[in-house]
Amino acid sequence: MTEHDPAEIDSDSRAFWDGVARGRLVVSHCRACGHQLFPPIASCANCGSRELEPLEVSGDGEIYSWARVHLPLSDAFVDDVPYTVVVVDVFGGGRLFGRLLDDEQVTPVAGAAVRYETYWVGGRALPGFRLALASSAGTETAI
Amino acid sequence: MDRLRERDPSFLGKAAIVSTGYTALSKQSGTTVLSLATEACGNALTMAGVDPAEIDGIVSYSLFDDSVACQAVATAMAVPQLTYALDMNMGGVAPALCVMHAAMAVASGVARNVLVFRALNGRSGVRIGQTAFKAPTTQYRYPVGLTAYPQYMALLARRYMVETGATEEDLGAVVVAQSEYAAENERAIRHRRVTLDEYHDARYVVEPFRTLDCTSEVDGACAVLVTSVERARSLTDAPVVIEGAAWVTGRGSGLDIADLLSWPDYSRICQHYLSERLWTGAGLGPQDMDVAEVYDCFSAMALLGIEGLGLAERGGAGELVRSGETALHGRIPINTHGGLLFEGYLHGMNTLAEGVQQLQGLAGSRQVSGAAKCVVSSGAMGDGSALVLVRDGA
Repeated sequence: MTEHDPAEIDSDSRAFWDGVARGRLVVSHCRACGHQLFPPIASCANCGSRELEPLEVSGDGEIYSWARVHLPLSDAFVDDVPYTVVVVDVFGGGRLFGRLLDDEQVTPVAGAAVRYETYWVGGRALPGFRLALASSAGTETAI
Repeated sequence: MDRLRERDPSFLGKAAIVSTGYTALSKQSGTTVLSLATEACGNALTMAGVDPAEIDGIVSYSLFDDSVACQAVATAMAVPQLTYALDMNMGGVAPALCVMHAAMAVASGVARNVLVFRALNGRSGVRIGQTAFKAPTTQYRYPVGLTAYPQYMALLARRYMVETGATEEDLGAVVVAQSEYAAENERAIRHRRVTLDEYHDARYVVEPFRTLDCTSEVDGACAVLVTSVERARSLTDAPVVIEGAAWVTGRGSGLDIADLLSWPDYSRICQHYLSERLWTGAGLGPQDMDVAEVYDCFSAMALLGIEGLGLAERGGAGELVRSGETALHGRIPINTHGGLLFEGYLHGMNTLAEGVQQLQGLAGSRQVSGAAKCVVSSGAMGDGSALVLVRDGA
């Protein structure tokens, strides 16, 4: 995989990226309402409170949606196609994007169980997911 | 429509679109965006018989700094003085909102004659499909390869398909149906019919989108002129009255152009969230429409828009299109210019202008017989806008 421009890590996102580098998934927890927030921003998108703290979650979740890219629209991913990005609802941790790390011939299915897994590109840790069970995917979509 | 009824919001029914103006749509305009904007605005004024000196308001929108300021256009057209100008940093979610702003300005007396335009060298200049956006949460998607517009819109399309059972056949049906109109539209950058076989042969950009599911970026400009209903009657036989208008932000909007991470539901877009307010304000419903122009940066987004506006039931848009009811002589002709898919990506300003042309009887061989009421939508994200347009007296 090709290295993309470094993300502009900021004070809101540092805990998340530090977690990714340790192979862990860290979201933002609202002390006021208990909501698990992703993406982490300065206040809770559920109640507006600014009383937020990092929370490590398991990273297990389900595929909510997916897109398989065939035509790269950024020079950084020319060597990667085809590749699949999944949107995952992480149990107790919100919704996030990651690269599907399984074989490119695998077609994901919405609802399929996945596990979080950090992958590395040019020394940079990035969020990815791997199907938890081989039977969760097929060569055709289940829709 | 009961004209004496107090309208809510109060500006509805008080302003009208008088005319439209276009430039050619091309892959390389060979000219500046300012020149394009001035040409389209000038054409709208010529059609209306209005002198530039009478213009006192201009509204426009841009994305990635791809346009020119309203004041620059005023200067280029030798407009002596503006009392109202609005440059919005928004893409295709904005056209109906821009007209809504123009109508509010006219109804409140802030301005009398307001031009609304979109101009860009979207093909030879800044290409939206390949331009990186800067926002707080882009850092989560760029590094994993979610870099461009078709890619994150594909995520919406996929979830919509999962939830409703819509298929790639349904996407193909939109492409084929709209191509029938495009073949009759001289402006269309894709000026041809497409068969379902051709559709299936087209290569994937990002599943489920093939090349033909994606709008074609163009250079060009499009404008409309908004004034009071009374003034409009003195300028044209067919004022197009702004009877309904709504803008909405769905939950979780605004952190990024691809703000999907914060959305609770990928299978519904702005038209769904603004629909009730739009129709209530207009005092009309989707069943009253003679024609619909629905924002379609991608084929699937037309389906989501059709359902969001209530023109079809949830999951029923594909069947509506396949049944032929959206064709010229069908129950509700949709995207009669061929849509953004075929006419080209003027970010929905051309979608709006097509609706106006239909109600003014100017759509040529694509004219919907007796078209008097039209709904126009702008945008395919959580935020977006829409208008209900009615030919004066209808």
